[in-house]
Amino acid sequence: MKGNKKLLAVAAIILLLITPVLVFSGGQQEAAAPTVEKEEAPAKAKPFKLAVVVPGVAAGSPLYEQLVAGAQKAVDEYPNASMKVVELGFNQAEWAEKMTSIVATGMYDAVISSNPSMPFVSMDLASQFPDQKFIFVDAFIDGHPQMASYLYNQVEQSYMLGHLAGLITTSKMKGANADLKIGIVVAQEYPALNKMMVPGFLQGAQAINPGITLDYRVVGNWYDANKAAELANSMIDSGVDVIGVICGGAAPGVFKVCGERNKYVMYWDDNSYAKAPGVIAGSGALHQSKLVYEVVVDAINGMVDYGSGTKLHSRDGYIEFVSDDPNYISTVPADIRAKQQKVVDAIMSGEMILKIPEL
Amino acid sequence: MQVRIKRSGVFVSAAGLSITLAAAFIVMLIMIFSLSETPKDTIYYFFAGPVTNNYYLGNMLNSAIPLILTGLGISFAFRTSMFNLGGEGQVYAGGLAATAVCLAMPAAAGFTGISTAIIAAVVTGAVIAGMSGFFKMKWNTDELISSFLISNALIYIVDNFITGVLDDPENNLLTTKKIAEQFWFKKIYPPSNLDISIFFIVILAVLAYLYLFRTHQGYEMRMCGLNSEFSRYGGINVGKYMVLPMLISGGFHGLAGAVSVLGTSHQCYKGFSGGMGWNGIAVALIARNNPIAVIPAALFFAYLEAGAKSAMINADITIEIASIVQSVVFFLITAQAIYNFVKPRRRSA
Repeated sequence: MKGNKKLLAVAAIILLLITPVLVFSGGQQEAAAPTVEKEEAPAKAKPFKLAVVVPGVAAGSPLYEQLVAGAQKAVDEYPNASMKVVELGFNQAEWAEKMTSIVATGMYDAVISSNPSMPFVSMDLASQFPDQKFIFVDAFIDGHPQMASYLYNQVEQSYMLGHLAGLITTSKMKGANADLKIGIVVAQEYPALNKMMVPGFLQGAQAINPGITLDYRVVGNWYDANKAAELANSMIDSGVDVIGVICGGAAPGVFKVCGERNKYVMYWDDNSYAKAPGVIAGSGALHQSKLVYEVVVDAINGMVDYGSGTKLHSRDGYIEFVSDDPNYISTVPADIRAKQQKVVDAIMSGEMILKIPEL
Repeated sequence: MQVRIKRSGVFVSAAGLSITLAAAFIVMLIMIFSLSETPKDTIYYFFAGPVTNNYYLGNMLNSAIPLILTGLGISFAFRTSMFNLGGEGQVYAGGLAATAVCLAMPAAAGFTGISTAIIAAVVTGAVIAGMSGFFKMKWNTDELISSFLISNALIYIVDNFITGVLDDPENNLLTTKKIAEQFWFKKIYPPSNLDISIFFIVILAVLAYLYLFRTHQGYEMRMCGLNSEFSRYGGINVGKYMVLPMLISGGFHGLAGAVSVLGTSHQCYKGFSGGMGWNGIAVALIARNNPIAVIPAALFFAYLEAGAKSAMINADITIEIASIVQSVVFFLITAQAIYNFVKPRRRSA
């Protein structure tokens, strides 16, 4: 019995030593070409490898899903192109290290990501890897020779949503009151929010009545729906009848409270009327998949202008106020929709210009 | 006779560890083959990824640093049969304390600032964990529950500081302002994050071993862990050894938080300590609560983490699959049953 145990232990040790050797020997051959290339790649087309970096998790985040979809569409059209999607997860402390790990492979011609924070997360590693190119959408950095960025004019989107909020709070709609107070629930503070979205929202509302005030609350994270619900309840108690939400996964808490207390919600970046019909009275949308598709096509063809920061406006076709959704039509009365459409048309046509401030 | 017992113990540990490692690797291979479409790539990056270049290697070693500290903290507590389940909050609060000190002090403070930040973090962690030990001594409160509950409450308080008074509104991330460069630990293996603290941490582990196994106080501490009633009859102040190991354990956790901030992130991100406390328990379990063995155990843990990250970045598995593979490996590593199987059984008379 004792001998059997020793034999078993020796066998285990041998197996332990042999396994990695067998594994490595097989893996190293593959390691030379770990990304599968398409079979019909033209002989002379230079391979193009793209890393699509999702700062978080793509599933459940409309903008990140659009990022992946847009890149995939472009890559599918070019036989010499391939891409790898990497999700950085929710721990922001690990983002810089994971980004560096991706770049350190030296495998990618370009890295594309979407989030205002990503240029700054990537700043140190860009200097460590001077040949690496970065493309950032929904972010802004100008003058960095390795980076190209595309920033949405969030002042315009926020103004359109604020304008509708102003129309509703001064209206005789069922949930509106006479207090001239609107609110906004945000996940966290960041420059684009502080300098574009909140001022744009208030500016739009005050275009209806300069006496409208804004109740501003911070959840402190992107997921706590219970806390968002508590904040919404408190705001409604203080006279708020329209609440803007920029808090990701915490937003359903606001939807629930506003649904129960017959108030209204404004939503950014994605057509979300269907998430809370009758509660979401206005929704903006960013056409990120379209932008990412165009940018990746440019990158594959070597036409991206690295070193530049591009500002995108509603008139360019990447930002809209969604006014043709049946839920919007059924929730908001025709006279208010007509007034709102005038402003939307003015912004979409470029007749009304709202400047992006310095970030 | 004593030599034979020692040899037998070493044999059991070596054989048990070998069998569990072999089983873990086989399970890992099976899982990768069934979950990955490019299993060869995945396996290659899982095993070899952490050592394929200086950056990965250095970062792997760097991620072992806080694990060594939390592993040491847990070992101290477990050796005395005190269960510190509040590691997460202690690391987090320690990191915040170090950050707050660095932000409050002028950059010119340099070494003084670093020392003060470390002391603040250690004291913070020690006080938090020490409370559970004190409650146990005073009112026989179950330290397993109290340390966990205090830690959970603290996480929200620390979150509030990071996203509130210490928040950096100019940053797009949920984080405090960056501490001045003068307070950063010196990097020793660029471009990786590995810093000079690794040398001190290894020395600390050796000192922890000497304290626990070569001093009178260490002996008393271990005795209390083995049998508190016997220790009481032997004249040992048992109450003291309910508080002291928790203070030391919390101090190690607080230090882990400080080292993470001063060495790696240079600012206190919301949730930066996620998993460090729990992983410390896994490390201590692998090391069988031996402070010296904590070093290879933490390195092994860091290797697995780096391998999982590498496979996720370079191959086709997702972060969830990588975590499942990791957890299966740990489940096997910490399974006592295999050791019991290898252990020679006493013959009945």
